Amino acid sequence: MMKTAAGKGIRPLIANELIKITKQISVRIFLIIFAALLIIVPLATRGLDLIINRISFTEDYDSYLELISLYEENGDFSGAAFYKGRYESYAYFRDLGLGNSSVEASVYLDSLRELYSARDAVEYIQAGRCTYGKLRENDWGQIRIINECYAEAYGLPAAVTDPEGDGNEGTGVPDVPDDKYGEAANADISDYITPEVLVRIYTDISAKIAGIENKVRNFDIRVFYSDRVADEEDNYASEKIQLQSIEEALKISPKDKDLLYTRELLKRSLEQKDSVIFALTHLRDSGSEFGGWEYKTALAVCAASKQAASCVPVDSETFETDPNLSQSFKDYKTYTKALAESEKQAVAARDTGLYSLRRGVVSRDTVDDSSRAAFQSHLAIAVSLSALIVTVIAGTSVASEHGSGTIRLLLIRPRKRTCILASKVLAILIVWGAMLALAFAVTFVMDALLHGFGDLFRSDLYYAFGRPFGVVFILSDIAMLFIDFLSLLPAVSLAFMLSVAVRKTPLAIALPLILNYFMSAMQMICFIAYSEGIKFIAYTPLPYSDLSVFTGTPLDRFIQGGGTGVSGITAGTLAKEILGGTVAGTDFSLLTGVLWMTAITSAFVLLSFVIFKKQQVKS
Amino acid sequence: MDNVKTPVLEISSISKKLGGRQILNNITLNVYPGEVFGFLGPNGSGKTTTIKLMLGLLRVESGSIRICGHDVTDDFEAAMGYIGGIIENPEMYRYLTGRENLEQYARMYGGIGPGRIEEVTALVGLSDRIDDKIAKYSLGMRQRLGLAQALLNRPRLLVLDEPTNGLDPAGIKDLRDTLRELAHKESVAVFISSHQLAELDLICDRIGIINNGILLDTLTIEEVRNAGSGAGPLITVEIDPSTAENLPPFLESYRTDDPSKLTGQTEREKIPDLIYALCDSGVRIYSVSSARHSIEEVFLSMTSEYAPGGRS
Ligand SMILES: Nc1ncnc2c1ncn2[C@@H]1O[C@H](COP(=O)(O)OP(=O)(O)O)[C@@H](O)[C@H]1O
Ligand SMILES: [Mg+2]
Repeated sequence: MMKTAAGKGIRPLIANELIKITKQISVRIFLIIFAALLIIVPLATRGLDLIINRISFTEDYDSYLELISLYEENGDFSGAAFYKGRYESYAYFRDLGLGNSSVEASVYLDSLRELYSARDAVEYIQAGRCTYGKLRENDWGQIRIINECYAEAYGLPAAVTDPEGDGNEGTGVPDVPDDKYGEAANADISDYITPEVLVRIYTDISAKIAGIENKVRNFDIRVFYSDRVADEEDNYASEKIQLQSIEEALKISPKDKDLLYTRELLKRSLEQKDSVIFALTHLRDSGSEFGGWEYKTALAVCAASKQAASCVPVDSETFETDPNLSQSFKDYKTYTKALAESEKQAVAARDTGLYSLRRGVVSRDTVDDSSRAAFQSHLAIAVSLSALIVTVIAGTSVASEHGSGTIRLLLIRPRKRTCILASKVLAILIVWGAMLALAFAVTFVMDALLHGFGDLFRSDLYYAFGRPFGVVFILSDIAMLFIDFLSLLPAVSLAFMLSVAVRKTPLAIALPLILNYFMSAMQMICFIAYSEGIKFIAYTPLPYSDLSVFTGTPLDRFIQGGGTGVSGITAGTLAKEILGGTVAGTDFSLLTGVLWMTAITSAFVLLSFVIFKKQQVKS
Repeated sequence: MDNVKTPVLEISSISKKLGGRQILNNITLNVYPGEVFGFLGPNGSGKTTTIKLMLGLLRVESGSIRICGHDVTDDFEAAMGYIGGIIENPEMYRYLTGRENLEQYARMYGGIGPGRIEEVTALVGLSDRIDDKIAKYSLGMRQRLGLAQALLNRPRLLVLDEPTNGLDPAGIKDLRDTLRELAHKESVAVFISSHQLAELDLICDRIGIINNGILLDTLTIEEVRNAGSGAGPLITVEIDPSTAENLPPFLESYRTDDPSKLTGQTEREKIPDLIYALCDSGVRIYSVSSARHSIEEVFLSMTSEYAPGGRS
């Protein structure tokens, strides 16, 4: 068969389409705005970040002085003492040159504040400006401490509520012992408060303050971590003894439900201790920075291990008789399943955290003021901006040729329609690719300039196919870029399809954008629906409009605090926090999402080709 | 080359429905190399529809169209390699210059260099404005650029849909000269549609007349000129309709839908007898006219003859 003319690849057609796209004034304006935003967004968020930091981290201590005199004038000396305590404690750390986020302040600020405040209250009573009774009527928290000191000196009955002296249940890092005297702390001892008693109490409080101040001055982070390790080791030993005694007891009454249950709890707790001790030992041995990523990860490992240990179901009879349990779970089976799921998640989180500590692969949102986190979030913003513009380009692509009548002169060439449409698809992809490459380069440079190189090149932590792994920075970024891109493809391909099928530019652009907006709301709705028991929703495409949500690791939900960096406040991260860790062990999966988005995109593109091939140009 | 025997364009039994309406009805025609074929018909008669079928913009559902032997449906790419055309107003990318537009189409063929673009630009007389944006072009300039893009691939068949729209008289003369030259010197077949008949009179070698989707006839320009030489001139008699009933029986065939009008062909020698017979039988005559055979006359006589309700 004779084929006319030479050089008939698709390349010249793509060149045509690229020229058409880039020479349109409207597209040019969009591209200029896009390029400008690539520079503005990092600048603006950095500026915002600095402002937020200034607002939240510079306390205007002197304003406390005003508050104090205000409360004194109103005769509320408990309130006045409260703010005096605050003022003095902040001033104390300030004078030592330690910030509010220093480890010393984090550990001792609260207890020091309470003690200062109590001492100030006692001073008010001694000065005759107020009485114990009056203070008690309007207590801002000082009575408990005064009563405790009284109890220690004069022997009020002690009601011990917290034998470990560890009010903090979750993290394995105890804070200062609180309330040792239970009810006594709340007792009304007005009748016993004499000047001599007040002097005694004053001396006691001062001694306690001196003790804490001493601890602050001699603080050593390694000792701090060592204490935590020692605590856990003691804990391990005592639980082992406890388990032995329970085994003994079970020899006598082998069917005792409570004993059996406690034995199971203890066994699991002992099993998990390895991870807890490893995480804390890691902190101790590496002397990791307080509040740094290793600290956060180690705490998350401890929390996850403890959750894993606690997932022991009660037997079905106990379940039936416990009103709390039978109310929150439909039946016994649901209850045991939920516990098993929770355990699975906790174990996955624990293993991810251990991997992270062992390999030094940082989990997301654990580094404060991270260049990498800033880069990633700015890149994500750039990708969604680019999708907006590409949706416009795709929606215009074929529809505008019909609108202007140029379609007629386009289709009468010796070219297959399939080939012409393919050149349009490829041109759009090339323009998009170029925009993404530009976004990558500009964002990288901007964030390197604004935040320094810092951790810009570090690897990222992922969890997939049931195990954690690290991915080198550039690969990780490309993967994330692809995942964001894939999330946005259905909208763009819908715009393209409508452009072909409906031939009306405004509709082809507006409908996908509206749908996109609707789908991001849908994602949250799906999470809620899932948690309400509508599990099949995880297999529909509905929750997968933003795939980056599903790239979180199980560890994320156990990481406390999160980053205070610039990147914080997007709907995406909100969803990540809600869902992040939950993905492991649920029916949601990145793979399902990827498959759905690919399928939907393919369907739209295929439909475009089928329609375009058959379409008659009637106008 | 024995081109005369092989048609460049073969349209066989084409019918087309659009929106449930029959737009074209069993059209068959051939166009040969080196001839200018005028496709005549009033607005809405189906000219553009026929051209869109030839260029693959509409689907051929019954019948077939071949260009240089290649079926437009089955061998689209090969067929399009031989054809160049404009359909209705030639709309191009307004944000590109004339040259950039031509480059767009040139790239779709392959093997068309900047030289050819200069050539066609000069041919249509647009050289000094070719680097302006289309948005600044007049309708006439866009028609010229339309012709230029149609010529890019040195087509064997040039299809022009109402190309004189928006052209001034000088532009029409230029077009006429260009088309003549292409057809007679380069053996290009030109298929040109129009509803403005006078313009085609001077260009066409052959015409086809279409009305309501039906191709009434195809005639060479000689046949048009000599349309009367066999049966005599076409005469039209304007009469008082109230006296029409007195019409002699041998003139029954002269009746038209309009009771005040009689038309028919007769030998020149018989016209006085005809007038006498009418007077004699009491038909009152206001005027008698004898028509000259131009495309316009042929066209009008045919389209009225085949008008709905008329004989067919
Ligand atoms: N898309 C369409 N749907 C229905 N009828 C159409 C369509 N396009 C054209 N027509 C009708 O077909 C007839 C022929 O149109 P067209 O070929 O453009 O005529 P011409 O070019 O001879 O003026 C007209 O009556 C027109 O109304
Ligand atoms: Mg027309």
